[in-house]
Amino acid sequence: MTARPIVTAGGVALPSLRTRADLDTARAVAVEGKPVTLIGAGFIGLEVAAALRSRTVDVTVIGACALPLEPFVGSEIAEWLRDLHLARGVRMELGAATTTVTEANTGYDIVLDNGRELHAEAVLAGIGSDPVTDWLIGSGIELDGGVVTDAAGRTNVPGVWAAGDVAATYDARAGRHRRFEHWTMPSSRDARRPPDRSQHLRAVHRCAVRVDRTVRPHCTHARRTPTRRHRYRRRRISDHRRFRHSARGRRRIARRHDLRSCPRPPHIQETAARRRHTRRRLGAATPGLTSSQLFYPDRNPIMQMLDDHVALILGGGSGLGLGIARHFLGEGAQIAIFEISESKLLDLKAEFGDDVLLLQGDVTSIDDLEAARAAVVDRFGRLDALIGAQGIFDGNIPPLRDIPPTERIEKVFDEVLHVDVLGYILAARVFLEELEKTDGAIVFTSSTAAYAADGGGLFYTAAKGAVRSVINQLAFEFAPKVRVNGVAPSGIANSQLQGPRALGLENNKQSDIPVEDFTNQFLSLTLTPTLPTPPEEYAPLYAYLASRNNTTMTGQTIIADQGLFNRAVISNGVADRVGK
Amino acid sequence: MSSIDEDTIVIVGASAAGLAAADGLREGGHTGRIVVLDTETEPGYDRPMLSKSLLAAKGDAQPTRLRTPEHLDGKNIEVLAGHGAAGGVDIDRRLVVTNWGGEALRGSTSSSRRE
Repeated sequence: MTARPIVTAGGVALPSLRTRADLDTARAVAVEGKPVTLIGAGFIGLEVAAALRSRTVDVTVIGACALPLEPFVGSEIAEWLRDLHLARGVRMELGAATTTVTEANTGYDIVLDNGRELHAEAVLAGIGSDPVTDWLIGSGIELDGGVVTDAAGRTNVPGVWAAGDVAATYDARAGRHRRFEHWTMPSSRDARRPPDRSQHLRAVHRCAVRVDRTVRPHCTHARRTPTRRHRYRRRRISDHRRFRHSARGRRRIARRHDLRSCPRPPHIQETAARRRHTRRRLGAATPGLTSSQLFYPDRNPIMQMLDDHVALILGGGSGLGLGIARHFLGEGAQIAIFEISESKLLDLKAEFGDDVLLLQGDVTSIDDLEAARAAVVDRFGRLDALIGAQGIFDGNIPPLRDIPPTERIEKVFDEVLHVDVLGYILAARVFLEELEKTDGAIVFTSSTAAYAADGGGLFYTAAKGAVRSVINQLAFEFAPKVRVNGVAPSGIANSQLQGPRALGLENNKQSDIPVEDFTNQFLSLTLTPTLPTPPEEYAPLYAYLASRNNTTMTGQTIIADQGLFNRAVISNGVADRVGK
Repeated sequence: MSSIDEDTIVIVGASAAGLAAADGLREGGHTGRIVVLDTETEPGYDRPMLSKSLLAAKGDAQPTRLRTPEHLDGKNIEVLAGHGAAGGVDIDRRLVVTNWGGEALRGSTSSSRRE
């Protein structure tokens, strides 16, 4: 349970009296002897008033009901309670809810919904408490105000119990689920329960152990295929949120508050601060874990960029694409990798097992891409992001002036631009409908070669420049549903970029250039320390652009040039600084 | 993941209900690990006193502990102070994730919560 907050106009939640820290705050107020105003004439408000009066503190209680605790104890006793407090010198402002609390010079200005304005030097809030169930939203455990349980405390999920005032326990006499917030409840109700419950628990252990060992004996992390439970859980989250914000849901929540005490004051329902507060709390409670969070436990296991995203990575078998794939898993995504090379696919299988959907195919083949689409939809049911990371390069062929004007030029052009440009265009077309369904994203790979000379050979440069322009145009054509962006990396460590087959250069790799040469060249030019940059370091850019977090960019290419372009004169500055 | 133990029971919330559940489990014969999580740094105190005698009394008397450390040690009940379950519950894998993130506990049961 947590104290229901009253937030001031300045965005500060007023202290209540629920925790040890609250006690210290209230005591400090009592010691100072300043007049205290209590918002809320419920149990807590009246108790605090009585306690403070016994220390001769000047106390005013504001209550929304005409008589304190009337809904619980009836008007006769409520009247007696009011008179008792008045007789002991407690001031009462009853029958008016608090509208706003604003910080003033020497305390707070309080406005009531009957128009009255009060000044208070110190304010404490006691308008009730709410069960803390945000962390269970989406877990599959049934919630309705509290955690719904049967008379024995069992929730709808085997092996999970709830007790105390968070539990909305089935009450046979009332014929419905009820929550009790009185402090005698845990002791009086639960004391009778333990022996019986332990029997249940032991039975469930045995059951759980048996299931774990027989069905998934080797399992250290869960499978990625959405099971019925996963789909159910996703639906529960969206249903729950949708319901809370629907007119019917709001009415039901309001009715619950009506039944339990007085109507919730309007400022608490509606202020921006309250909404921010709720959003923060919901944000902090990520329901459940994805298996990648277990697989990569050291990478921020709570909130991740790609939780609940399905991504397809073209050319994810090695180099940049593989780096992206690993990073995406760490960010919580479910991924499929499309790769042409059988041997790379075997390596992927060894690394990821069944966690990743592996698809063999050629990006220039419409049939292969359509087969991939069918497989992705079959396994994940949808696609949120298409990542283009495939590419070949010129294979270190000489400058154009040194190549005789033969057909070879045409062949290299065809092969490089087919894979590096046509492949992206075909994939964008084939996956468009799926991406539109999810308001998804496309992230393609351009290169610093698209912006400046000497980033690769002529054909590679032409291809990467084309990709950059394709991104511009597709972003325009696919708007507003699908965002299309790109990343333009510079050098990549261990790049497996191959040369064109047409020239027999498929075994020439970019990483064949000796690392030292590559690094030394870069060191004198660039401004960031890691060289050559491992693919994983480019991957967060892809993750952001692929995620639903990106609501502001489309048609852009992020130039990840390590500061390369930020140089007007090529001095030896950085190399000197790092001692090379 | 600090523990992968099918006999572990995780109780979220170290107030009256949570601690009563822990005691009840031991009385009922549960021998596995019992871990009680609570967001507060010194959890497990008698809350109703806060707004009554403690506020009325002068001085800085602290609320009564619901269970002494000796009691908890004797029954082998671990109380992890400062650990909420904000990370949520994963029913499939029987995991409770604390607000410390890395500390994911695996247990057969997650139970009550009073905060």
